[in-house]
Amino acid sequence: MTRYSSKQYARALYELAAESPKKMPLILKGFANTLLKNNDLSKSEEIMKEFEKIYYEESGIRRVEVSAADEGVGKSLNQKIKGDSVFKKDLGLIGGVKIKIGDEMVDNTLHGRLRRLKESLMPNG
Amino acid sequence: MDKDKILQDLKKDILGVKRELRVENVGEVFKVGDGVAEIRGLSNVMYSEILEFEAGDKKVRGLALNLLEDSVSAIVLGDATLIKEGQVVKSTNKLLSIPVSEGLLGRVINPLGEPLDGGPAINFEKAKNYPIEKIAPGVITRESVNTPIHTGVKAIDALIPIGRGQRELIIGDRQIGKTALVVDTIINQGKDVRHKTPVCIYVAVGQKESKVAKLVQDLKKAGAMDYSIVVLTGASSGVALQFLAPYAGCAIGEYFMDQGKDALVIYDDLTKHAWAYREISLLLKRPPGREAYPGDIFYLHSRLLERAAKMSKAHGGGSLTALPIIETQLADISAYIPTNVISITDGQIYLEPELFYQGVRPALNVGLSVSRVGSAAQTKAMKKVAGRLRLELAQYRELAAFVQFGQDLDEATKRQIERGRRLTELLKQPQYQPMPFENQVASLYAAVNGFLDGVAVEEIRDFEKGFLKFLHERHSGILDKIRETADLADGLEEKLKSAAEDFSRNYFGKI
Repeated sequence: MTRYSSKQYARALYELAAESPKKMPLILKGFANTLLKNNDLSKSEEIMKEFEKIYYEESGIRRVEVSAADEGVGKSLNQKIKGDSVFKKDLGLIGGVKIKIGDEMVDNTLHGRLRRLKESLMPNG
Repeated sequence: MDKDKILQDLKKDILGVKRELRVENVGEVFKVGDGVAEIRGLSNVMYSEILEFEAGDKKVRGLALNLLEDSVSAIVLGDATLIKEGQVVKSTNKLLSIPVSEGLLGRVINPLGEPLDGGPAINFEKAKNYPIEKIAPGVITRESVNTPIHTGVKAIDALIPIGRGQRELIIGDRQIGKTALVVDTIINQGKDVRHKTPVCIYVAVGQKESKVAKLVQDLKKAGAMDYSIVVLTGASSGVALQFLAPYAGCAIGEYFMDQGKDALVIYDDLTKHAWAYREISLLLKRPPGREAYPGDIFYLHSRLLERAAKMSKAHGGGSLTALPIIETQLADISAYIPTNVISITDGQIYLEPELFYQGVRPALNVGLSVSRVGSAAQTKAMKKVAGRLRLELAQYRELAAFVQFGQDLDEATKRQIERGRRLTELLKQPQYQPMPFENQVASLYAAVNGFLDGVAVEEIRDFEKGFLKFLHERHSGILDKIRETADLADGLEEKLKSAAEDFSRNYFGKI
């Protein structure tokens, strides 16, 4: 029996879903059965992560994560971003915003700036 | 620095930091365990780059080692229990490096440059960052080995001489005096007045901390800590640090070498280093090979030892001498790691259990030990006595087998065997008593010229002690001259000979 990787499962699921989006419930049921048959149910979490990744890659949509201490700032910024965006409230950031797109991040929070100041004053600390 | 200057600097720093807003490359931890974290993202990470885990307010560093298609595996250099799934990991665009300055002398540090001796923080004001992994100096910048590094151990300095820039392996079973040998070597460096004192770096890989504590005490007592640095990873520190320790020690040595100074690095021991790397490789799911070591286990040691070098005058003339130690199991020097390291180094000093139990200490097997390049660095004076010594010992070893049969032997053979027994006795040397080079020459000169032949084997060491004392008191000019010229020319040999005759006449007269 061929063993499939999580990535291959995710790719197959994505392609099926893209071909016929209306049959999604059927596809999902079949998919779960296949996992059961191949004894790969334990991989489901990893497959979902891979699926998410393929989805963002293929659709060209980028997931944007905005974090801020102040809810108002973050939400108003969120509304202006086109695409898939998530807001995270983090009081530890003190002020300013942190924006993460894919694996790139711009940290303009007070917390991050204070940390950078500390690092520049104590490079080996 | 006056107050205004400090304030100005601080202002500049603050403004500089503000402008430095940049896009960072980040990833997310999705698996962690056994000191290894697997990370998604980090698309621009380099091999052996430092990563920063955002573990609450603490900063934990990691080292990216496996760069796979869609994940990165990193070994954690700090407290791995602080790492949790979902944490953000940042790339730093920096390769792992260690800050090095003269402030490290006399200190005990870990491979990241953090003090472990409970002393004050290390002054890194003028420190330079030295990368832990570095390509070894090329052919053009090197010079062949030409200056000796005296260990103070008669048997080694005479028969297996080591030169500055050489890599000489010390190999033997556990508890046989490998570390004792290098401690003596370090202590002797401060006493060698003829050459510049090298900076000695002792790298402990996975050693018992009690053993290292004793070693540091011994070095302090002998005043050798002033020019020494100890890089310590104990048996309880993580494998990541154990894996890095030899490279960190080497980087510190390179700092001094680049300044035109001499450095001596001792890796104690590379067997445990290979074990640490095997553990890391298996955790990183790299395919295991022979004895479960990964495929690049040879490269692990070759790239480390290749960094030992003697630089040419045009490139500063510094040197880095490496004394790696390998611990064998049941004296098996043909095992995997020992054969690897033997083939990399420029010779080996083999310590044998049988000799050790016979009371020959250091338990040096003169037959199996070699130094491939050291003889070029040996002084002329030592060469003159060592050549004869080597020959006599080789003949003795061949004939020694006969003695066990208790056959009647002819006079010549008997004489040869008796001479050999006396030479072997003379090469015994207690710990913490490294001998200055001129004393070694004088005492070996007396031995190979037959002045010991009439002395009973048990009294050899007394005779030697008396002879050296006699030379110091009555003929110190001879010893001074040997030290200055490093040769037995200009009638010096005759003077030494007549002094030896004089002493032995009195010695036997006394009896």
